[in-house]
Amino acid sequence: MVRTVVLGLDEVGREYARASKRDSASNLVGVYDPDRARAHRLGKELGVPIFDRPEELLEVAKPQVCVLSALEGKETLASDLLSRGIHVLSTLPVAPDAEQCEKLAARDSEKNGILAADFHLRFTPAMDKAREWVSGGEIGSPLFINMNLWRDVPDRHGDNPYHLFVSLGAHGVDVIRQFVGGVERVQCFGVRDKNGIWTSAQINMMCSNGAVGHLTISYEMVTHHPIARCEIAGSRARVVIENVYEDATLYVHERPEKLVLTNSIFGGIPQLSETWFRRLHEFLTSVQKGNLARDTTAVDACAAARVMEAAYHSAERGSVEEVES
Amino acid sequence: MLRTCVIGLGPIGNRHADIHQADPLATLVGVCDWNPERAEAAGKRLGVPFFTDAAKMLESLRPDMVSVATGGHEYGSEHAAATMVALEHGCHVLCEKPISNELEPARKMVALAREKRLCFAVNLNHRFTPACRHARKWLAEGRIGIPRFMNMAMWIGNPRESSPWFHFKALHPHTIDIMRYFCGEIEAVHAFAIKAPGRSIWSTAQFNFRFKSGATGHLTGSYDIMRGHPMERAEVGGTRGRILLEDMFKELTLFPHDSSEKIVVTNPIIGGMGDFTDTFINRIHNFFVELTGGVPHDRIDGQAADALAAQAVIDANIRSMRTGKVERVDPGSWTGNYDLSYGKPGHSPG
Ligand SMILES: NC(=O)c1ccc[n+]([C@@H]2O[C@H](COP(=O)([O-])OP(=O)(O)OC[C@H]3O[C@@H](n4cnc5c(N)ncnc54)[C@H](O)[C@@H]3O)[C@@H](O)[C@H]2O)c1
Repeated sequence: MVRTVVLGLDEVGREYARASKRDSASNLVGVYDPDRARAHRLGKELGVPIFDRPEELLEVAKPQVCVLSALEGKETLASDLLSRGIHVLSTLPVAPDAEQCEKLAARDSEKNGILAADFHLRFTPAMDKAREWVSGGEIGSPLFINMNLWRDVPDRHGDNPYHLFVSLGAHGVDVIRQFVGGVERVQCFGVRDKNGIWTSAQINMMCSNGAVGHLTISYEMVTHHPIARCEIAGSRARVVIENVYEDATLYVHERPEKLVLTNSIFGGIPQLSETWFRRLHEFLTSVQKGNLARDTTAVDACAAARVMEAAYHSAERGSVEEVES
Repeated sequence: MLRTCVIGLGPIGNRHADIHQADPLATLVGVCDWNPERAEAAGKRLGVPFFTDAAKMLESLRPDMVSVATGGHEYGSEHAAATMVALEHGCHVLCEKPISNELEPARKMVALAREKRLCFAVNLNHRFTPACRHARKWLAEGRIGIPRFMNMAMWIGNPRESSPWFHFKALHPHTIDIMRYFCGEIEAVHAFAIKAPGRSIWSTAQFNFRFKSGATGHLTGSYDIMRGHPMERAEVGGTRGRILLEDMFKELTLFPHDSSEKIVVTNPIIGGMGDFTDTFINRIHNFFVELTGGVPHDRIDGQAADALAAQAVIDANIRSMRTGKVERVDPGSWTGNYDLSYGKPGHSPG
C-alpha cells in the first residue's frame, strides 16, 4: 500500500481524498487544508488524521505520494515535496504560469519524486475507444476537432481572472491534444463578468497534425445537464464522445449505421468521481511497479498551460497568438 | 393567387418549380433557362411555357413573383443578373443563396429592391423549420437568459474544386443566418481553415465570432463529410440555460439551469417535417403567405438584406484568412432584423 496524503481540499482535492480512501492500493495517511473547518469535515468523513501545517503532515505521515490541489504557493510546496523524493500528483493548474510549470516538470526524476498532472478526463472507456479509433486510422486524415467543457462557478473562481483557462480550459486542451498532438496557434473571444473575471470563452486552434480545432469553455452552465462533448472528424469518419464517458460514437461517412459504445451500468463509470479514482489508481500502480517515469502528464500540463496562456492573451489583446513550445 | 416563374432550371430550379406548382397560393406560369435543353425539358415536364430569355418571359407573362435559381461561379455569380431583370420588371424575388458571390452586386440587388419597394428574399431555408422557430421563441422568452456562447456546425460532401472560397461563400450563408437569427449581429471574426488532402479549396474551417451583444460564437464547416449522418447542429448557452437544435428539425432540447429536467421537442413522424425538401417547401410557402398578405418589403422574413449581412460576415472571414488576424464585420451590413431582448422586460420579443 502506498502512503498517500492530500493537500488542498477544494472539490477536486476532496475527490482525490475519497478516491484514495477507497483504493486498496493506497493508505490515506493524512489530509491538510488551510481552512481548518473544511479539513476537519473531511477528516471526520474519511476517518483520517488532519494536520495544521504541511511540514507537520510530512514529518508525521511520511507519505510516498502527495496529491496536491488548490493551495497558495502550491508550486513551492511541489518543488519541496519532489526534492524530498515524494511523488506529486497535482491538480490543475500545476503552477501559476506555464514557465513555473516547466521548471517543475524539468526536475531530474532520477533524484527527485515524479510530478504528474490530474487530467482525469482521459481515464474513461469512451476516451480509450475514441483514441483507439483515431490512432487506428478509422477517421482517415484528420479534419477538425471540437471540444466543449462547462460547469457552474467553482469554489476558487473569485481569486484568479484566468481560472477558467488554466483549470477548466487546460483539461479541455488536454483532451484535444490526445487526438491532434500539439496546438500551434490560437484565437479566442471571451466573456467576462463585472469583476473582469473570464466566465466563457471560444478558442479557435490550428493543430500540428493539420486539423483545425476549437474549444468552448464556460463557468456559466450547470452540472446536472451534460458538461462535455468532444468531436473528432476526419476524411473517413467522425467520432463523438458525449458527456465525458456516457457514449462514444463512430460515424463512418459512407456507412448508414453508427457504432456506439455506451457506458454500462454494470462496471462502467458510475459517476464523474470515478475518473479521479481511476487516475489516482494508475498513478499509485505505477508507484508500486516503479515505472512512474512513463507518466508524462507533467509535460502535457505544461503544453496545456502554454496553449491556455496564448488563448487568454488572445482574448485580451484581440490578437491571434502563437503557442510557445 | 400569385403568378410565378422560375429562372434557372438546374436541380434546384426544378425543385422550386415543383414547389410553386404544389403550393395552393401560387400558379407557376413559366420557366426559363439560357440552356434550351434545360428550358424545354422543364417546360414540358411541368406543362408550362418555357423561355431562354428571362426578360422575354417576364414581359410576356408578367408574373408577380420569380424564383431565381441560377448558379455560376461559387454558386452565386449568376444570381445578380437574373434578379435585377426580375426586379426591373416589377416582380418580387426569391433568390437562391448565396445572394451573390461578391458583395458589390449583392448591395446593388438589395438597393434596387428597396428603391422599387419590392419584396426580395433569399432562400436561407435551413431555419424554416418548426424546431428552429420554437428555439427562437424560447430565446425571445428568455428561457435561456442572455446568450453567452453559440456553437454551430454544418457539413456536407461537396467535391467541387471551383474556387478557394467556395465552401465559405456557398455553404455558410445558411449557418450564419441561423447564428444571427439566434444571437443577433456579428461584430468580429477569426477563421482557421484547411485544404483537406487532395483538395485545392479551403474545404474545412473553424470560425470564431464575437456578437455585437458581447456573446461569443463558433462555427465549424466542412465540404469534406459525406451525407447520411447528422450534418447540422446549433447550440446556444445562456445565463439561464442551454438550447440544442439537431439537424434543423429533428430535435430541439432545452436544458434549464434551474431544473434537471430537460424539455425535448422531437419531430413527429405524423405531420412533422419529412426531409430536407420540406425546408424549401416551408420557406417558399412562407414567402407566398407574406406576398399574399401584403407584408411590407422591409418586414418579410429572410430578406435579402439579411443574406447580404451573412455574406459580409463571410467576407470578414475571408479577410481573416488573408491577414491571419481578427477582422471586423462591416457594421453597414447590419440589419437589426433579428434582434431579440431575451426576455428582458420592456422589450418586444421581436
Ligand atoms: N438552399 C439550398 O439549400 C440550396 C441547396 C443547393 C443549391 N442551392 C443553390 O441553388 C442554386 C442553383 O443550383 P443548381 O445546382 O440547380 O445550379 P445549376 O448551375 O445546375 O443551374 C443553374 C441554371 O441557371 C441557368 N441560368 C443562369 N443564369 C441564367 C439567366 N440569367 N437566365 C436564364 N438561365 C440562367 C443556367 O443555365 C443553369 O442551367 C445555386 O445558387 C446554389 O447555391 C441552394
